[in-house]
Amino acid sequence: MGGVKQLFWVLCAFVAVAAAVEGAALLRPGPVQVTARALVAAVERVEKLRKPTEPLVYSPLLSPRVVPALVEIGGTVEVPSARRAPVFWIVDFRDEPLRVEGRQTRQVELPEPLVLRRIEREGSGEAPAAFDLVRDLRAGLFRVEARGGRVVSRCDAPRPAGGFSCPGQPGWVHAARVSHIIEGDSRRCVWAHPIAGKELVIEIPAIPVPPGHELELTFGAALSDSAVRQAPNGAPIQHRIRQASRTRSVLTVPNRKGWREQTVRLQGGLPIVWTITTGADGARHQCVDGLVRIVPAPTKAGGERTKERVLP
Amino acid sequence: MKLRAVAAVAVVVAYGVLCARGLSEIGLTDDDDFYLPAGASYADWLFDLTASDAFTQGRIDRAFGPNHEHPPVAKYGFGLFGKLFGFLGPIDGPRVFAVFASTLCAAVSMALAVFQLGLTRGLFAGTAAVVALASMPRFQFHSRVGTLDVPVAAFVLLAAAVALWGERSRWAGRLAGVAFGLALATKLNAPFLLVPMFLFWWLTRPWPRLHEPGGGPGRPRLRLKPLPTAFFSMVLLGPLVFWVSWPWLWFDTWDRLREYVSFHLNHYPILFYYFGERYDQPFAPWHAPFVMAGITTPVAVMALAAVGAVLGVPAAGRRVLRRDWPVERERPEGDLVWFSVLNAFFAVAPVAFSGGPKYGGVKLFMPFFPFLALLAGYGALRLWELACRFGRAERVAAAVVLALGAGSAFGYRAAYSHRGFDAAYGLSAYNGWIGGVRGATASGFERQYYDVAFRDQLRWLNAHAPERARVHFVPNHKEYVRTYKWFRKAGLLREDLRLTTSEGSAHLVVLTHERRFPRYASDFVRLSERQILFDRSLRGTPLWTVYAGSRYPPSAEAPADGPAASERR
Repeated sequence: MGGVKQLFWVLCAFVAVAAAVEGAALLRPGPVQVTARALVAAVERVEKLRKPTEPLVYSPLLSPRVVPALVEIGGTVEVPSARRAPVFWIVDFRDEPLRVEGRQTRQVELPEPLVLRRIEREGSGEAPAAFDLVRDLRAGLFRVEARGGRVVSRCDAPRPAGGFSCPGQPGWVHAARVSHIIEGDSRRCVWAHPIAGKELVIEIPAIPVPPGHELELTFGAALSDSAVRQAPNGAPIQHRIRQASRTRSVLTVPNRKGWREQTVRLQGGLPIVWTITTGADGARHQCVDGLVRIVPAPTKAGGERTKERVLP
Repeated sequence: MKLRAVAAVAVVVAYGVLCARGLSEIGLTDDDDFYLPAGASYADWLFDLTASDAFTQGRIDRAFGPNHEHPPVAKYGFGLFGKLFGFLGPIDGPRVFAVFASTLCAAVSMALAVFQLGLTRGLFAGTAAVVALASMPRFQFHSRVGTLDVPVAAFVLLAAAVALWGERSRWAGRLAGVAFGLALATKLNAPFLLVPMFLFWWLTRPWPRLHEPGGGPGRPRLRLKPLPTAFFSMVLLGPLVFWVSWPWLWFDTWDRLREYVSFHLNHYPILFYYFGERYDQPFAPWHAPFVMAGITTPVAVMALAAVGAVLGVPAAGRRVLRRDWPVERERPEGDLVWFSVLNAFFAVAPVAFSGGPKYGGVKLFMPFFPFLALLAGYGALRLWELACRFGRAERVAAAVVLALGAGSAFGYRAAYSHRGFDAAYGLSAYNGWIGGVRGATASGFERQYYDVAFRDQLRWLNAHAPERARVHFVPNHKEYVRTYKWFRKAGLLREDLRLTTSEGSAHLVVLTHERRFPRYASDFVRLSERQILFDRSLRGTPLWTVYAGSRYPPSAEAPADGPAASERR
């Protein structure tokens, strides 16, 4: 009988705790409103602490009314991939921190209710990208050239839907950050629709490197799954990387699902010219991505090794 | 006796009334636009059965062509209730059928409790089960929309109950096939009911004797357990009812049946946001349905269901270990425990383990909830009975604990309501375990889905949109084109308002905060430059925001700060 009585009290306590868990969440006071002071402090601390290569993420719980101040300094609600950003910062709520993968290496107190957190993830030993196409997309980075090199259009006109259009070109020729479904997975990249008979050119400005170092460019591209479905006989797309008029790497994106990627070592201090061409541009909904890192130069010559990967 | 029977009926009626109240506060899901017009088409055919061409393939294909990917029973319901309750308008009239289906869940739960536990104990357990069901905001939201999920929950529960009653009534056993056929003809969840029922029979039916009666020295004969009438009825009569009820299958039967099965085996992927990951294809991991059920059901209801499972062990154990004993008194209680546990688990398991898509919060396994509620009702009864074995202090403690459980569960429902207990924001409901919708959003869960065109959103647009305004929704405008046309049809949308597919030509842009859409982050960043006219937050979590579009008249007065400009609950 005593054991049954004990069981009764245990079960009563169990249900009472369950009710209390629910009640606590229901009776919890609403979040403290983010004041202008807190926001100014957040912006100041972010600008002071983070390096240009470390993205800023803001909590999805932040009111859209306070978000513009963070967007102005490059904030986004999307947590970047570990490959793209091994280190990033979050303007977060102290009472409800965003659950992200990675190790919190620093927490900076801000006026209530905010907090600034620095997150490091696996692979953060890698050097941060000196150039990141998605991050550093800006007016004039893309241009359209006629075969032979004459510039037909510079993609520098802001589009209402984001990114830059290329004046005089069809609406589908533009440069904008997009998320494409590639082999069933969503991927953040930059829209780069090739044009038959012309060249779409991305010019990455010269990046100086310290002595004994060089650049490593990882560039890749894919057609969206829907584009492959739509056009079973679609034309392949050619990518060429040049530096100082020399071709350093070529990559072909066939009319198949999947991300294609290459890594090439390049010289520092010279612009990198990335040209994209195709024989027929029907339904070539392509997006591209490129990361440039500064890496130690190999002790022996061998700077033009390329490595192609067909990712699953 | 009579009073208790009346009380049982009153509890079910009260559930129905509570469910029907606030029907007009429930927004439109993107599925309403599939099922409501299909229902109207099917009902027109039913009303036209005397026509000379009613049974020709041409007429049937015309009537049943709309939404022929899903079987018709729930859509008959929407169509017939649409005609019966036409005075409620083209949206709410048909959706009374969903209320009816939900009330059927409550009625069958009460009946199960009463039949298995007796009138007095059953009334207690049944009432607790109905209260548990009423407290679930997600189930309650789905109980007021024109979709197949709650109707299939009702028919699966009904079929399972009739099959269970078939253990003691030959007639019920025969009718189990009809109920199962209706469930089959509602949605594809239904066939999986055979698995828990087969297990139930396997566990609870006696093994056949190895020797012939009479003790003769005959050779031992291995025999299978005898299966009940209900099983044969379900297997034979069920498919027949399914076929008869769906005229679409009367012609080109095999091809169309293959098409039906193939559609669901190769269902197009739907985005699902789970622990901060966006799932499309491959689908979310197997545990997603269990986790979703665990973080959206009222915590006290889950605790009471666990109490029911624990305190039901003796009855369930006796039922299996002494299945050969001809003592009837304790059997029904053990049956109820096995029945609830097996059916609850196997309502979720096919979604979890089939390798099919997982999306839409808990909608794919709606039949789980009535069984869970039943187990919670049984748990409440057993806790109370245990208290009654001891002193007054224990009885007071049990009463307080049960009251706290019910209070917290209804508080949860109220928290995700727009007015009173309407559960209008039921699809944003997350329980205290994960910290409500705020905690769930921070943990990487979706704060809404089903592209719901909320009624308060509609009211805001009617009240504050500039004259002849064009409205654009991001990130998934195309679904709102489908839902807002129903608001127009029902005369609920201001005459001069239009939706536009071009954001550039919109006066107002409504951003629904749904991180599962890959473009959401860029939409949010892009729109941050624009003036905010209104934002709807729920428990400190933004749900949708109205921005001034590029054509918003600069001279127009933005709604002043205050409740109109920003509503938080």
